[in-house]
Parts: sequence; C-alpha cells; structure tokens
Amino acid sequence: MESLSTAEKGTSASPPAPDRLARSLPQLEALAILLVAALIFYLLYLVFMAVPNERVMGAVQRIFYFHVGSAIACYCSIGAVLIGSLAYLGTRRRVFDCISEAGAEVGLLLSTMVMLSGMIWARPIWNTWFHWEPRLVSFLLLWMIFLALALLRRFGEPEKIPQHCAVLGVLGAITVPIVVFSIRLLPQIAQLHPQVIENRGLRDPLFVEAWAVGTIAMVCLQFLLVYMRTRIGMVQVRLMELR
Amino acid sequence: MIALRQFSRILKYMLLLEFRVRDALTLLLSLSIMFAVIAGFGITSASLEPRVRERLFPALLWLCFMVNAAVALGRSFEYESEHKVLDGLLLAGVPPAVLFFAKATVNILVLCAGQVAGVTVLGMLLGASLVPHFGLFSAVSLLVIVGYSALATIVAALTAGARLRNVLLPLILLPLLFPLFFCAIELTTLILEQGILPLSSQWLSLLAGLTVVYVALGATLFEFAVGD
Repeated sequence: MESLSTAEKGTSASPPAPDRLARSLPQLEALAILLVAALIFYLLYLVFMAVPNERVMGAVQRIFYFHVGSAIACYCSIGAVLIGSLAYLGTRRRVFDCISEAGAEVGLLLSTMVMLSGMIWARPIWNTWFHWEPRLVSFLLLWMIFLALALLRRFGEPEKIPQHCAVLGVLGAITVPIVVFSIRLLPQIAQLHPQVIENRGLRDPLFVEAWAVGTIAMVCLQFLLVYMRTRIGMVQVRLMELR
Repeated sequence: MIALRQFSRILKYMLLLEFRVRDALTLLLSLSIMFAVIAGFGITSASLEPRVRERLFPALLWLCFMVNAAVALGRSFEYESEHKVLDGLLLAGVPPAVLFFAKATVNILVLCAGQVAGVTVLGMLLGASLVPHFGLFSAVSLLVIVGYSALATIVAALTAGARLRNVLLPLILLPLLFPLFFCAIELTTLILEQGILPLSSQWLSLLAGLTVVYVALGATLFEFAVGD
C-alpha cells in the first residue's frame, strides 16, 4: 500500500521546471517558426499587394522594406557575435561559441542580402551598382569582417578555433562602430544614401506599416536562425565529444 | 619591475631571432620595392598630370604599406610556432602581455624599416618628396605603425597554427585595418598639401584613439590568442 502510494506520488508529481521546458521546447520552436513565417507572409502581402508605388522611384522602391530590415538584423548579428565571444572567453562554455558562430554565419547571409538588395536598387536609381558612399562602404566592411570570421573558422588551427574566433569576434565587433564613425569623417565622399527614417520620408501610413513589419520580421528571422544554428552547433559539439 | 626585466630579455631574444632569420624584414623590403616599381610604372603609363600623381601618392604609399606588411608579418610567429617557444615562455610564467609587447615592438621596428624603403622608392619614382615634412610625416607614420603592429601581432598569433596562415593573415587583417588606412591617407594628404598637422584635426584624434584601443585590446586578448 505504501509502495503504491509512493509510485502514485512519483507519477502524479509534476516534473522539475527545466524538464518541463525541455519537453515543451519542440512546441515552442514550432510556434516561433510559425510566427516568423506568418510575419514574412504578411510582409510579402504588404510589399507586393498593399503598398502603393512610390511616386519618384516606382516599383523598385519596394526593395526598401527588405533592405532596411536586413540591415538592422545584421547589426543584431554582430551583437550576437560580440556577446557570444565575450561570454566564451569568460566561461569557456561551448554554447557561447556556438552563439558566436551562428551570429557570424547569419550576419554573413544578411549582409550579403543587404549588399545585393542595395545594388539592385542602386542600378536603376543611381545608374551604378556601387558607389563609394559612407553607408555602402561601412556595410561592405561589415560584410568583410563576417567573411574574415567565416574564413578563420574554416581554415584556422582546429584545436583552438573557438577561442581564436572569439578573439576575432571581439576585434571585429569593436571595429564596426569605429568604421562607421571614421567613414563619416571622409570629406570627399558625399552622402548619397537616402536618409528616409531620419528625414521622416515615409508619408503614407502603409509605407510606415510595411517598414515596421519588415524590420520586425527580419529581426525575428535573424533571432530564429541564430537560435537554430546554435542548436545545430551544439549537436555537432556533442557528436565530436562522442567520437 | 620584474615584468620590465622580462620584457627587455624577451625583446632582446626576439630581436636576435629576427636579425638572424630576417624573414619578415627581407619580405617586406622586397615587396615594398616591387610594389613601388609596379605602381610607378602603372602611373607613368597612364600619363597622369603631376598634380594628380601627387594626389594619388598618399593612397598608393599606404596601400603599399598595408598590403606588404600584412603579407610579410604572416611569418611573424613562424619560428615560435614551430618550436613551441611561446608555450615554453608561458609555462615559465611570463605574462602574455609581456610577450605581446615584445613581439609588437619587434614588428614595429620591422614595419618602420619597410616604411622607409616604401616611402623612398615610391617618392623617387613618382616625384613626390616628404623630406620637407619629415617630422610631421614621421609622427603620423609612427602612430599608424604602432596601431598596425598591435593589430597585426594579435591576428598573426591567431593564424600562426593555421594551414593557410600566409594567405589567412592578410584576409583577416585588412578589413580590420580600414579605419587606420583612412586616417593615414587623410593625414598624409593634409601634410603634403598644407604642410601642417593641426592638433585639433579629427583624423589625428581618431588615429591616436585607435592606436591606444588596438594596443589595449592586443595586450588584453593576446592571452586568449596564444593560450590553451
């Protein structure tokens, strides 16, 4: 009787909080993926169905809603690299190295998207694919820093890759604001890039809505990709340990 | 005081090693002369006006320096890496920051020699002279070289054990060097055109700030670059 009551207690007692979280993780992940997918589809609807053509630039202006969101998400990625690198150097826990790796990879993808979407926009508007303009140059350098991180991870000294990438992650993340500041000092480079947000250039409420949804969607997508890449990284670490 | 004594001993050892091996120095001097000749030939073939050549001179000079130095310093930790010298020194209790300052000082001396060669040859071939502004240009060059050396020393330590270290160092280092590159070009142009270097210049403040930041970062992060 006593043993039965103990067994009943064992089955009826609620599991500890971390276990419960681990069990509900797949549902939470699925929910996050659905949420981001819904945001992206809503953004696509807004950009291609709802928002009117911009008066001067025409249809090509619609790229702005992806371009700005990707650029902001890109800065979040360099933030993930910095936080992951500093935390890894402080604690030596591999999860932080995986966060830094994920931030760098997603950052490389997003900065490539920003550069390409900017070029597609610049060709009909500026009549050139690229212009030596402060924001473009600073983003090109950000892209090069992400590329340098990817190269070190691919070709670096295998046993020391996490700590070496963490050092480069800190150096790279600190260089980004310095680059942005120093480029703005250059006198001969004119500011050609549109200052839409600073100059309150979004007049139509639909423009503002599409811009806000675009930014939120791209930032959420970035967080989701960093999270998923971190999980893959952790699985890879466990596999290596098992071997 | 102990750290200072350790620094002077390790510096003496590293200087002796560099003097005997002379890899980085030979590479840097050869590359500087080679690059200057190619650049001079290219500019002469383009039949540019002397005024345009003068405008191009600072950019070419610093481009030559940044690229050649990155290639030459790729062998910076070659000997130490092969013979596990740094591991031995760290095990003996030498602070990583002392190792960093000693290596960075050797690199500063090598880079100064490379810069003198590059300025002389490129100046002669392009007909631009920095002799009237020797003091001002030396001050700017020294600041750039100290910042460059700090950054290059730590990145060279990161790539020392890599398979493709000679290619990897320039690829990683050059994107990080852009702020220094901008400062160096702008200040050299200012010196050549106006013959002055105002202390209130934003570029000079930025250059001094960058040098301090890079030296501090290098001394702090070097431990993680060479340690286990």
